[in-house]
Amino acid sequence: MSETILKVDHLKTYFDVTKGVFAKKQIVKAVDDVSFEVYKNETFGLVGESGCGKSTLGRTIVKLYEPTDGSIEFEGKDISKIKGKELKAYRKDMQMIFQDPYASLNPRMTVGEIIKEPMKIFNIYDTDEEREARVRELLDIVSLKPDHIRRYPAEFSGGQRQRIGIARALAVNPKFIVCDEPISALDASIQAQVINLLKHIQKEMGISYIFIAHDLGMVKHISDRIGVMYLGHIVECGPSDVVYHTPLHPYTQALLSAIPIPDPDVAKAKQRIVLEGEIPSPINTPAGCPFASRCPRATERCRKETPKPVQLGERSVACFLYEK
Amino acid sequence: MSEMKYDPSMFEKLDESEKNDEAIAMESKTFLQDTWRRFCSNKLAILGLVVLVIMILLAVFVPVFSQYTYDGQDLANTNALPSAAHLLGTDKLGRDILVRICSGMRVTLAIGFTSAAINLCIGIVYGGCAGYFGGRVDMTMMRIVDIIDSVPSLLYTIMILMVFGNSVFSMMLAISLTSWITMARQVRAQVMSLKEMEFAMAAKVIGCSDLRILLKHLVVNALGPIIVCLTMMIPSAIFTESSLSFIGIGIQPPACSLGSLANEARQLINTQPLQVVWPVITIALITLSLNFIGDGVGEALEAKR
Amino acid sequence: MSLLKVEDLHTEFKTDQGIVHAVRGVSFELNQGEVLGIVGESGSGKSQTMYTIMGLLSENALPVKGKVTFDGKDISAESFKSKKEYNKMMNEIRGNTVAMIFQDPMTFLNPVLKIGTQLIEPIMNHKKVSKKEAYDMAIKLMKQVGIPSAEKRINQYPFEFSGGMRQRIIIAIALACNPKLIIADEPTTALDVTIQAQVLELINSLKEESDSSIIMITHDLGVVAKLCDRVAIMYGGKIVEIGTDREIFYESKHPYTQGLLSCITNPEDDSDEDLQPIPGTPPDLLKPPVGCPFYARCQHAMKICKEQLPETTTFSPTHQCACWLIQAKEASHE
Repeated sequence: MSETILKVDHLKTYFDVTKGVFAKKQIVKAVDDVSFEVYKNETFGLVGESGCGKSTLGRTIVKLYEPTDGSIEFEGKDISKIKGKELKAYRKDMQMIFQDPYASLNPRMTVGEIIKEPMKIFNIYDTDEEREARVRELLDIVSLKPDHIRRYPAEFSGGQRQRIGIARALAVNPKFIVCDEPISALDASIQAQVINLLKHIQKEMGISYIFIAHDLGMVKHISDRIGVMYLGHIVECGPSDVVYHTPLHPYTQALLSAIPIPDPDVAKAKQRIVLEGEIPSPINTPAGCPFASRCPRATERCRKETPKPVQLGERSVACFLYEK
Repeated sequence: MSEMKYDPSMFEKLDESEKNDEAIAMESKTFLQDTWRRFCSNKLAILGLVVLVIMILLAVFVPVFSQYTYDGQDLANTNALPSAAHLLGTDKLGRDILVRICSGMRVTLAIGFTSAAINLCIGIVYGGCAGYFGGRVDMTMMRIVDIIDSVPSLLYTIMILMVFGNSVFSMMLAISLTSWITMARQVRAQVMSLKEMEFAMAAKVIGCSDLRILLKHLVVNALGPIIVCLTMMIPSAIFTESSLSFIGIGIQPPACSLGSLANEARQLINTQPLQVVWPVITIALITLSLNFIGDGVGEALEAKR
Repeated sequence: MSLLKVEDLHTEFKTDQGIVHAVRGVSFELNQGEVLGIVGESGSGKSQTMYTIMGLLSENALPVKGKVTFDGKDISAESFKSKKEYNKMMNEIRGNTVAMIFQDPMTFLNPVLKIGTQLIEPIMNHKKVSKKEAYDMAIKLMKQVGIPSAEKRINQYPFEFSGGMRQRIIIAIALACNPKLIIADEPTTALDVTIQAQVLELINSLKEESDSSIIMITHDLGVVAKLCDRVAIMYGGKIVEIGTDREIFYESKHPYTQGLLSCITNPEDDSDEDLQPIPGTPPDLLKPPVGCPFYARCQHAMKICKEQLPETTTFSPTHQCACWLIQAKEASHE
């Protein structure tokens, strides 16, 4: 594989959610000791259920949240504590696509203004004509019509809005884009459009992605490697084909088995691993393996110690079952 | 099939150019057009706007074009009933009531609008900062507001009027200094909820400065509630002014405001009740129409999908 | 015998942009004990069809056209003299013979009442039993839908339940009156994958145990494949294809159904090829196309598609499809 562009090392993002001055301290460990690497030109998929910390991880990487501990290296430079000018320069390389196409565009700005704004901020072009021309070019890339430029976001459908969001992210020619569940709010026929568009852009412009989603089928399709998250931890990480065909961690196994297969003969015959119980609250999580409370194979040890990731060939698994 | 049901040429492939698969059915309208159209569909709001505009025109032009002045006395013709010469009659010193009411309206409206504008500026800056930065900044700023708010505003107002004298200017100052708090709280609440929206995060990711995010992305989207708050503030400023003038510590004669006119007429309430009615009706009309306009603007801005 | 029969249903809404033609002539039948999936994208009219049938339309709806027969009784809005009479009858039906399950359980549960109260009351109303008996039945229902320690949880409030648990409560309430028909509007969309699997298993076991008919409104073909006997595909306010699950998944005739099936990924498949998306955006029903609603996005579109609504062709007693391609094929064979 080619060189590393992003290296996340023992990253922790905690939130203090203590209510009131005298209440017991309550800490949400949204991201708890997460390490992984993303290579140039690659798509790294992050999957997990709601509340597993995948979006927080993405937002920490684009510096919307301050990391509590650990480091994020982008092109060899630790960006976890940068501020001011350095941060602004980082933002030019690192962009984000958001989840909710109805909330991620300012309703009071026209499409043209929305896409032009980042260009203005980074002084990419000298004149407004050049910027306008670039906006038309970007609209064409995301297959929207140039005459859409004066319209407001409210006039577009969900898929069209998501493509406007993509055009905005592309406006500064970034090297890396964090896609935070860009397709989960869209209809199936539109999801495929957005996925193809993102793949096409990657091929043309050589951008690396982190692709966050809860739809495992789509993540597998777009990602080269994936990380499976549960309660703030990456429990399994490796090339997507390998993880899908031979999942090792009990959580990955259950998650994959839960996907509804769009084929009536297969779906109606399939026996699933149905997990008992619910995802525990991330407030003041107990010690031990995060998955221990729902794991069908949990032992005493799992409830006391947190398993360290074990490297098995190309992938890593955080589970005692695979300790050498 | 025995007979051809359809013209075979209809089964030819449709040209790509005839499909418009990204078509948008909705008409494109700018934000202002859209809001205005919505505002116009509210009949009460339109009525309010018309009444207010008439009032403002009267206030501006009647004292200019009338043959009387607000302080011109005619002691031979005191307490006259409405007539062709004096449409609303004259007061105890023979001054034309119509002209006095219109010039009183000038003072009252000026105080109302100016203090609301001052409130708007302070409120947006103060509430915006508190809401946007949150945490300790917010905590400190809002506690200061609480302290200011804990002393009755009438006290401040009277104190300021004592120190600076009973001029129109000190009246504006006194009213603005105490009533920006409502606006600041409103702006803060709006900004706090809007800054969690994804478009605010997007603005941060594309490198917008804090000031730009606050003004261009957050405050702009909070305009609906802010304008409603503003239109409620004008009547409350007018009320404060009228009350102060009514109890005699506001505008001093011969200058007049709607409040002081009501106060003057109060002394004759038993013999000349009509003289009290005019200023009171005027105040009521202004406040009512402002309230209607506020409701209309609020709805028009809110409804944007 | 068909339990529910819908004929040429039309629903329109008045908005400040103009009139939205949400449902444009929908007809279908539902048999006793059958699970029918209604699949479509957002704005295809699938939920509005159900709301129309159940008389739950919002204020700005224009008078509904079309005929609805439920359990041998005409329940179309047209056939009633007054709106009041219609609403009274629909209230009766909604409480007794039809149960509804919504996407967001919180819109259905009353946040200030205990779960127990919300379960026991409908049981007492329907079964005419004492409070004690109703309580026992409620506990039994909660156990049936897989809520652990039901005796304790029956005294809790909705906010103490997670999304998946709330959805189970809704299902329990729905089952309380032994409905003839359950209408589920995207019941698993808001849930996580592992929780969705739990709820789907639950619905699946209910389907086997009871003889209620189920209408499942969803956009997820995986859910349909798992649960449904028959599937109706909706697009632009119309049913474009309807058939049994195998007819739809393996022998689909309409280009939209085919497109929908080819643009979803099957995780079993390892190919790195591009997905086959349907280009463009669904039509805005503010100005629905005169011809086939799908023509602008269809790769086989013909001249006639833009100008005339396609006729429905019947392939088997269960399989119907409305597409001009079928007539074109017939014409070219002659």
